[in-house]
Amino acid sequence: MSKIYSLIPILSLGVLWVFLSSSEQGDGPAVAYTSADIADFYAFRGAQADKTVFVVTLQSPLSVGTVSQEARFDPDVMIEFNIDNDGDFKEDLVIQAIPRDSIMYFFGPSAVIAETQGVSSEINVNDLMGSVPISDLEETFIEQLDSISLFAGPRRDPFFFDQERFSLIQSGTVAPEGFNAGTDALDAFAQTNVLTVAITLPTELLGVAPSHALNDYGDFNLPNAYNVWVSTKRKY
Amino acid sequence: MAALNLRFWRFLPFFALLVIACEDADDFNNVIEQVSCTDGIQNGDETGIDCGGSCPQCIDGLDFSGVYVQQDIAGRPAINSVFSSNGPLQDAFNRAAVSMRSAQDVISGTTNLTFPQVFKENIDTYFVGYVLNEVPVSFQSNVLGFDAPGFAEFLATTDALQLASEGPTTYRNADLWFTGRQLTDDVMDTTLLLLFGGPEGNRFDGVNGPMLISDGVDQGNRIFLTDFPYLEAPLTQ
Repeated sequence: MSKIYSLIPILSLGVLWVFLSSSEQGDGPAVAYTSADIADFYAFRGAQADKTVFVVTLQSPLSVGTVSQEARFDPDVMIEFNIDNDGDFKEDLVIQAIPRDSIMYFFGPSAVIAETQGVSSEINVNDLMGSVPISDLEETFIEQLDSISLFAGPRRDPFFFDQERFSLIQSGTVAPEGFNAGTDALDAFAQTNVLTVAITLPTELLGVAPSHALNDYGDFNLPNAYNVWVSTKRKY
Repeated sequence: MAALNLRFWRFLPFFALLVIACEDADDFNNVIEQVSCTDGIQNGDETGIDCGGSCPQCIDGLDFSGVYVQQDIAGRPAINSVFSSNGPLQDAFNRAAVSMRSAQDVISGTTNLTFPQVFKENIDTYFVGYVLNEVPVSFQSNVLGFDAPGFAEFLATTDALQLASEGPTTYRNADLWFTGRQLTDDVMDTTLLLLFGGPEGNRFDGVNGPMLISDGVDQGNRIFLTDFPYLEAPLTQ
């Protein structure tokens, strides 16, 4: 009996740990479950071959129902797509998105000078690209400019992963066993939503791509490639 | 009185032409004066100063001022959550610029600790408790030819999506690596392959030891759109 009781705090901690690490990026208690929490980042060639698409997902996981209904972008959090086009992993161009009332405003692509590269930014208000009403669970709004498309709002989470089993492997709890297969493998995000921001723009606006970063590490002969990442930045 | 009215209506078309001519002349002058969307005055079809109409949309009255400081960051998928071993390290990773990941001063409270070292240590930890042919094993060079320190260095210092300017997009498809990331890419299987798969990619494949190179799930019943915004509509029930 006393043995069982003594296990309760440990088991509780275990449950808490699994819970806290159940967001897909699951990467950082300071930002977890806040409006600045990035879940995933996608960058791909669009339906038109000369276009590039950027997608960021945020605030995962949003369970279906009230939580999804009430999820909002934070007016103090700016979302920044960063493009390095000279291979030094410092941003040369940025595209910024930030909400005001029920509209998402987009700025850029803006050139970034060396003095302003890094973790602090101001919004490039002179480079307004356009804006789009923020979509909700019922209505989808897309802003279609000449060669650019803009979107912001909740969508089904595109990310799939057996997060729970991975957490057990990561913590060493189930060694020497591995992942499950078939119906025992469970996608933790199959029934959840996320807040998303998406943009399509002509690839030529990103400049000329440098040599692929992996080519420095071996004979891979990969095509020239930009280095791109997304960040969230909070107003202070 | 009736005669006077008749005379007035007879001349009305001429008055009208005169008015139209004057307005045309004024408009003509305005067009000459409107030089750009950056002249600092509201003119032409602008609805505010240098905005609206054929100029960029007006954002007057909205406050976009201030300094915004990095809270979170994402390049390749799940790198921080898989390769940083605890909360403080993950926070430090999220707040560091990509180009600073190998610097020694981005992890507060430590000295001489860098993210390549953090990642290397974590890679080793994943193999604790695993055996192949009844022998404890450690990381073996992966399909890209990286040993553990090299893999850690690559992941920590080049953490961005490499996005090819031409050709197909894939996180990994056979010999094509890192040309971007599509919604359908099974990126976690790629990460697991590089971590556990060894030089041939078949280490820990469920036959040669337990299954560690795939989590066993795919996109399931998600249906992505063929055009913008590509993402599936939100679930409502």
